[in-house]
Amino acid sequence: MKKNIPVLLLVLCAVFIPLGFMKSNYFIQLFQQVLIYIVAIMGLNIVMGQAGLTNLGTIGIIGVGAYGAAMLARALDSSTLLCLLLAVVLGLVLGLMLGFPSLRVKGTYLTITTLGFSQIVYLLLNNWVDFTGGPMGVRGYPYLSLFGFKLESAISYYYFLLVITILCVAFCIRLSKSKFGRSFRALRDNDEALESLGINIATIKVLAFTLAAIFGCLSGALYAFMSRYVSPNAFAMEHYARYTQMIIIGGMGNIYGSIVGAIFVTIVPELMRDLTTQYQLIFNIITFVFIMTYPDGLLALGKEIIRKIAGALGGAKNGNIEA
Amino acid sequence: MDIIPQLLVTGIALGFIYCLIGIEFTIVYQSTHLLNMAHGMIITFGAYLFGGTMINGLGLPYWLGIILTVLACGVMGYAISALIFNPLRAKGMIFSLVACGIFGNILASLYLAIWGSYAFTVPGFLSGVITVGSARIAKSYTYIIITAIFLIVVYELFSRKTRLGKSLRCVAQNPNAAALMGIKVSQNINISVAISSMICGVVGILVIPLFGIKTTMATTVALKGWIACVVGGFGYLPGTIVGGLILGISETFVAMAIPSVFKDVVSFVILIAMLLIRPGGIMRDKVR
Amino acid sequence: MKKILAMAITLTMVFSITACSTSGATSGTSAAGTTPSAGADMTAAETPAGTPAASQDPIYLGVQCRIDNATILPQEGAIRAAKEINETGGLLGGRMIELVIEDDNMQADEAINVANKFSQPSRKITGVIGPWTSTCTLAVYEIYEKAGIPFIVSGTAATLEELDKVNDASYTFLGRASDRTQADIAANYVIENFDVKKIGILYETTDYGEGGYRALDKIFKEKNYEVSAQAIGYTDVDITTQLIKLRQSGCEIIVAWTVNVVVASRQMFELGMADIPVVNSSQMATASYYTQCEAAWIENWVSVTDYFNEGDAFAQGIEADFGHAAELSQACYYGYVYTMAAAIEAAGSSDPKAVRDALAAITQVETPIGIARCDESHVLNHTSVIVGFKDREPYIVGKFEL
Repeated sequence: MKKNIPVLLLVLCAVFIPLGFMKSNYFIQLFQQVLIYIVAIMGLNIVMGQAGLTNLGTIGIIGVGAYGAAMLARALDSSTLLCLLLAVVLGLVLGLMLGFPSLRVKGTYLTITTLGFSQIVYLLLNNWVDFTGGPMGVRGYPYLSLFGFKLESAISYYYFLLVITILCVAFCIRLSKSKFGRSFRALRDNDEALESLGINIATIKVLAFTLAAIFGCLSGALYAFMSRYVSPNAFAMEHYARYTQMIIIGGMGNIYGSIVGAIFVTIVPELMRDLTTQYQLIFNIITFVFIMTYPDGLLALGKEIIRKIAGALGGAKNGNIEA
Repeated sequence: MDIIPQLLVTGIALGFIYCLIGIEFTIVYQSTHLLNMAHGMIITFGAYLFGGTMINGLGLPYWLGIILTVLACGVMGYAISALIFNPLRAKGMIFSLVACGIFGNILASLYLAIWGSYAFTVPGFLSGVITVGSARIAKSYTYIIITAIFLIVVYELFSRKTRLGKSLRCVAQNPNAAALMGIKVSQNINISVAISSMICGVVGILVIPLFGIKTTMATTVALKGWIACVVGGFGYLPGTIVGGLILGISETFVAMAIPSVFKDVVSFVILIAMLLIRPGGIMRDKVR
Repeated sequence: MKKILAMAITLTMVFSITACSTSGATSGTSAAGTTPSAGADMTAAETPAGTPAASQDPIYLGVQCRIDNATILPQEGAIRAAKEINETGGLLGGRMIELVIEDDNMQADEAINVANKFSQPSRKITGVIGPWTSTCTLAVYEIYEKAGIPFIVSGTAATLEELDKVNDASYTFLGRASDRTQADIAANYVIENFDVKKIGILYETTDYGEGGYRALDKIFKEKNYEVSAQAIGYTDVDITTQLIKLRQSGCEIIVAWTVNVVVASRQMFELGMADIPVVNSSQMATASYYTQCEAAWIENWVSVTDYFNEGDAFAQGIEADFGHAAELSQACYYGYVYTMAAAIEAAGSSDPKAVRDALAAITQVETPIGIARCDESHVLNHTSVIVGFKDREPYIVGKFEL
């Protein structure tokens, strides 16, 4: 019960805080972006944080999901859960595609392969004009409809995203505690031991990539319905680092850490807009210094601060006055 | 048929650029096991410093500008290693990826602040064309090929014959053993990165006539250089040459056969095919 | 444990309260580019922009573009224009223009965030200058249409002329002639001045290049020319294969619709193609590009542009304030600010709806890129300049009024 309190708090915040911002599309859409990133990060956390397989292909996966959903919606002239389902199927296919190379290559080489994948996706999205519309992107599809109810207002789409995100996070938490979660972590820490226990490494690796790809494609589809316009340069190479940044800043391998990281990287630069137009540079400097000095991530930092404060308060109450 | 020499020269010249970048990338990877994603920005620094400050700003003669720029890049590399790479070594590859990436972005903003937002070039530097048979070749390509071969020979000699070079190799192969032998590991790593950065500086200067001087000048070639390393075999210098040449030449020739705009896709397909078929690189058997 | 819970709940409440109050914050960058001022204005949190403002309230204009771009610095033009207008007494009897400059990094998501931010009623934005690119425009136009804020964009994709209008009267204004019109001008220049049969098109794979290519291809094919086209990436450093293919196709003139002009002109020269005339879209006329070329490379190049730097007052102003030559990007946003200002004066108020109506009726505002006149497609600019080169010195070949 103790452990669940922060989670409950987080969910309560996510449900109630946006109500305070209801009049402002700016904040609601920002929160929508946070949730969309969290979905993608859940997948990345499984494959990179837990299984320890570097995956720089997130941006490419998201691009495929976004374009898939957008193009289907435009073709059918209706956006329904079917488009999200397509994204999940694409994720399955991509996961298998990316999983198998991971059996042949490791470490640095895997990093480069996944990076190459992202680059190929971007180049195809941008240059295959006949199929994807090229640089002009895909537009002209309607808002997502849920069993006939059109999610047109920002706040309604936000709550839809919240439900999906909570489901995804809950799924990942359960997965993490299950034998699959243990297998993933074993893969990262000691893969030989894993094999000696009779678990097929290949299955685990492919499973990790497939889950990451499913979450990534789903995230892309949700993005497509948030902005109702997808263009290739949203999936260009310069964005590939954003997701790894979120995981590291939040705390590697930790689900809550990843959530914190996603929130931080999305919201803090936006809040800094009012300070200066150079907010991106300042944010870069802050995150760089933070990564170098406290690589355990924000969540660990937060826990340490809370522990110290609780310790100081508890110590004073018991009459032990410690410095 | 008469375009074949033209394409060949272009492919070889590009291949040598990739190869040089592959070399400086491998040097850092070998000593630190970290991926120096900021190397593109060091190349850019070499170009900006040479073009912006030495030549356009101070009006120095080329040879002096080159020497000073290369030394400055070495100093910059040493500083980056001492402040960033050594502390990052213990934390792993992902951290180096992300940290170097962010650091590269910070550097880009710095360059815009120092040298202004407009792209520029060094007028008349290495410009001109020479005609060889039916092919017209940019002079800068020939300089690149000659300099690259020269640098590779010098580096191999340094690495095998000099004491410093040998100790750098020791550190790369087995840092613990090296430390036990009394070699200062951190110091050597700093020197390795400094050498890598000096090579970056040379690349930056060489590509000014080709790419112009702007913050995005090195992003694509930096990535391709990385691919060249991998294709050739990570850690084996002649392998990097082979990798770079294969990449440069195949890119150019394939671009004639298919719609040229998919040329970059070719490099990545080669990369992935290579990794799946022969994960250690072309010269895998020679990699120690 | 209870303490942590209590602390967390307190933090949540504090956060919610601060967030609600700061959603009414206004920030502004003063027109001369000095330190920005930000303030939380609790009472103005929900004041709609149409409320009659005190006579000395500033007029807020949003400026949206990528701030730290190489060579494209539109915000400088806006800053200079606002400064000049404020120095001559401002608008509507003494109200100063305050620019709110936001960086959208030429990315769709950030553009959406900026547009949402400008649309907050508490910010009292009267009009927006920007976005710069067509893709950003496509991403945000619905936001501005729904919020009822007029905005002048620099995107030139032909699709922008056909956007669905959310309201009956559209708030979208196109500051530059579309790619289709510019391609028209380039094509007609070729048709009228050169007696050729085979045309080569070199275009870049961006929204800009694609748009130009489609328009050019259509026009030339209609007039029965033989067309061969090659696509390049806008950051490509080697386009040898594309140029060789064009040379092999035997084209006698090339229309180059790309930013990548330095590489193109150099490699054409190296491949012995320097005698083939080239008609380029606006980039070669930019000083920072043609100064990177050698004279021999561009003797046969012309550039179809909206702005040619003849050292006028605007150019001198940019040089004085920012220390480098004025280019197309500054000229565009400078002109848009003046156009918006004229509309505000004509409307007699800073109410966005009234300004929109005034913008739709604009007929004669002088800007560095030509006289601004709003036509039925909401396009404001109708002049083009064709610039040629002699010994790497640009000169005007002709001016076109549409």
